Amino acid sequence: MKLAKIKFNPQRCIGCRACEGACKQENNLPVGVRWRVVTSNLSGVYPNLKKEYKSSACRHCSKPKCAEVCPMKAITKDSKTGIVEIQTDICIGCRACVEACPFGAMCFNEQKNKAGKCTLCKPRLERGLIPACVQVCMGLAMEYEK
Amino acid sequence: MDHSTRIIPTCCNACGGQTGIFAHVAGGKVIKIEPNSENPIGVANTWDDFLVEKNRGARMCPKGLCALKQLYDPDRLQKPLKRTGENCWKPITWDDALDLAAEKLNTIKNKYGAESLLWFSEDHSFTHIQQDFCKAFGTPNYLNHSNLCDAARKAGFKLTLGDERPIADLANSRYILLFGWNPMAAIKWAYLPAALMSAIDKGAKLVVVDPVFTATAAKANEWVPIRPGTDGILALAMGHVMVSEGLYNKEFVDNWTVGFPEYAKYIADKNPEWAEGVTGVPANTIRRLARELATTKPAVVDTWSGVSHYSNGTESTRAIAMLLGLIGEIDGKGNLLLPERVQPKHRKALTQWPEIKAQRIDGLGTKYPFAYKSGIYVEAKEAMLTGKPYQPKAAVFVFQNFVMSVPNSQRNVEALKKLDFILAIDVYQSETAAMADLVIPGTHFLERYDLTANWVAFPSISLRQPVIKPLHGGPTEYEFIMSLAQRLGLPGFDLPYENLLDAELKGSTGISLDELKSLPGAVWNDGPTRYRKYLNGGFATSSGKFEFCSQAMADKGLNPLPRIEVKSGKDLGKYPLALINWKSVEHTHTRTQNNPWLMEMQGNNPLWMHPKTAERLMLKDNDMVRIESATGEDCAILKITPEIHPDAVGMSYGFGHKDIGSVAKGNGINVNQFYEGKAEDISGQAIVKEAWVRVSKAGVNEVGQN
Repeated sequence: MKLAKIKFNPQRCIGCRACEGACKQENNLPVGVRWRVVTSNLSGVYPNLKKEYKSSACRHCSKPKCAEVCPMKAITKDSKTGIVEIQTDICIGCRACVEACPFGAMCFNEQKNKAGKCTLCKPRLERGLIPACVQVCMGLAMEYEK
Repeated sequence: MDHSTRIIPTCCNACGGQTGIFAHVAGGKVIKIEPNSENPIGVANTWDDFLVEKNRGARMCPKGLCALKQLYDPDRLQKPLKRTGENCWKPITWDDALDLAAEKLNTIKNKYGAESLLWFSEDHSFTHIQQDFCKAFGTPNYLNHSNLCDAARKAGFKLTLGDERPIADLANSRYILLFGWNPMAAIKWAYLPAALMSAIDKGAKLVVVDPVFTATAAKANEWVPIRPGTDGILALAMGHVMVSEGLYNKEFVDNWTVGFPEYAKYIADKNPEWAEGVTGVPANTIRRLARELATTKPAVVDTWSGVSHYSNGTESTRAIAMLLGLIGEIDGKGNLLLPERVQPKHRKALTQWPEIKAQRIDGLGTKYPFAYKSGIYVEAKEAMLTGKPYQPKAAVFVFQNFVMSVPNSQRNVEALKKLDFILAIDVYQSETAAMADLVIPGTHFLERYDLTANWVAFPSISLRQPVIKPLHGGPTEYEFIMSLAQRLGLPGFDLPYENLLDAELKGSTGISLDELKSLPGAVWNDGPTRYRKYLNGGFATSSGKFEFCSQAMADKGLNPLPRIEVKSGKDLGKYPLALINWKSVEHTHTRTQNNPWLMEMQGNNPLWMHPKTAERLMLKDNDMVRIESATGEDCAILKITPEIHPDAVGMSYGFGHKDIGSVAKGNGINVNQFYEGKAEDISGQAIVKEAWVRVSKAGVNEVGQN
């Protein structure tokens, strides 16, 4: 079965951070908690420079390291949707998952003392909408595939 | 989302782009902003593309998506504030604020004449009612933001192809040549990035001429780094190649232009080798670009602030526009388009309003013969300081942070000190509001009305409407201004604002305000896009044709051909580097730096310097450096990067706040302190990118003024 995911095309990403803004708004994230982050990589020699932008968030891994290390088994991968989810009420804020994520995608909300990350906008998906970041992408670099 | 959530169509105003949005309101609170695909600004700028692309939804930029952080910003002004001493303020009632403003303005009018009031406004928000106020009060001195933005671009294009704001059809072009324009970050219209990416997908070649390796240059086939302020020279040399090699469009030139022989003679000696010496762009590159541009169709050439914010802004824009005259690629699909727009119909001056006999204070139309109606900010400032041609006594600033946004901030402060009365209307206690005698809390764009003529290539008007009442509990700006007019006994301000909008709409589109509200997305669109309209109506220039040689310029004693003087520092030995600045995608001018989400994305503005330059100056990445120009000095963090021309240094605009709010304060430095504060000769455009500086390692104890 094909699992839902966000397909990202770096050729089309313009580094505008609309996806970041949409993510902050959709999830009402406090300063310091960035579930989606745009980075860039510069290469080449002046004046033949090359800059590639990347928008990244949780990759909803097939074998999520975060889930492996969680002492409370609060992180699970939904076999139907492929979404890696955190049951926030169970999370004890130990940050093992933050350390374990090889992509730096697991965030920590100091105010709530909870781990958090991209949910693939599950509440939106359930209403038949696409993820907020995909919706606003100015360079049309992101696509939602299911 | 529960069922009580209302979804209301409106327009963003986080910048002047005015993207269509839907506001989600629940329990009296705005909880979300989403894009509105009925509004072309987030979709496409030509009719056919709009109809297709809207099915993919609309786009939005981070400024709009983070706008709720400004709406609910605890640092927003809540109550009218009256100055009681230096940095001392007393909250007063709205009634008392109106009484105080009316009394002060009346006194000044009676004593010094109405023209001693200067009015500064943003250019996308309730401008008509402000202009009406000025007319009814009797002052000719209404100025707005456009003078700091694209006044020289307007003049340059108006003089050549007869349109003040041509817009590029990027999506359908095969060859896109941009001078000093970064539509991928200085986005303005949310459709731009997708349009450009769509052209690239279809195989278009994108060439970006810019001293900075911008986000647009990063997507280009070719980045052409150029010395700041020399773009017009490059354009003249490209013209030389096209003419000398016979590559220009003879049919177009013969039938639709005037002044070609004079132009051809003028550029006969302006060859690529000459231009290489000035611009730093290799002569071979110039030849190749000229040949490519002349032989690829459809082609589009466009230019914005990276060219027009210099002392040769209008002339350079003219020289660039002339490339379009040579290739004959104007107003066709994939070209620079001359848009048909319908504006809300501004009411005529009422007969009871006085005839204004006083001359303008800023030389609009006189000293600056091709100035836009937005006036000349730096001349208004000089008048405050010198009393010439007469002494301004009062100023009203509506969303205009004059201190921060007009070049030469120190002098701006000195100028404002000369006034008897300053009224500032703003969302924040800005650096300008901090100098006011009376500060009035402004609204967020989700709290007010406006009609917006969209910048697309077909008639389109959208509605901004209040989705909640102003949080401060007071009137909107336009209501405050109308009440003020009534207190002053000025006629014509007694109807509700909605009635005025209704009349403006009916007068231009035939539909009512209620009808506009009920249209999908609250947008009135009237396609199709019509192309090459000049074939029937000619160009809106004085000759009716595209002008290589301008009689209108000659009539004003100016050179009819584009005479491009490249200024260099008065003392290059002392100040060897050109200081430029740019707008970043995360911020709008000086007004978004208190937004914690946007500041998280970009919270500072380090000085960019090329590695070769840094090596010569023995500077290292992250050094604290001292920047000195003839006008100002301050310290900044250094960022060493090959993304900037070795002869230039630069930083993004809008930072270095000393007021506004807790988030903004103390982050980065204000680039405007380094500029002299002059206006461009022809259009009066404020020169906001032309200064020369020296950069050195700051002393151990220097940490900048902030």
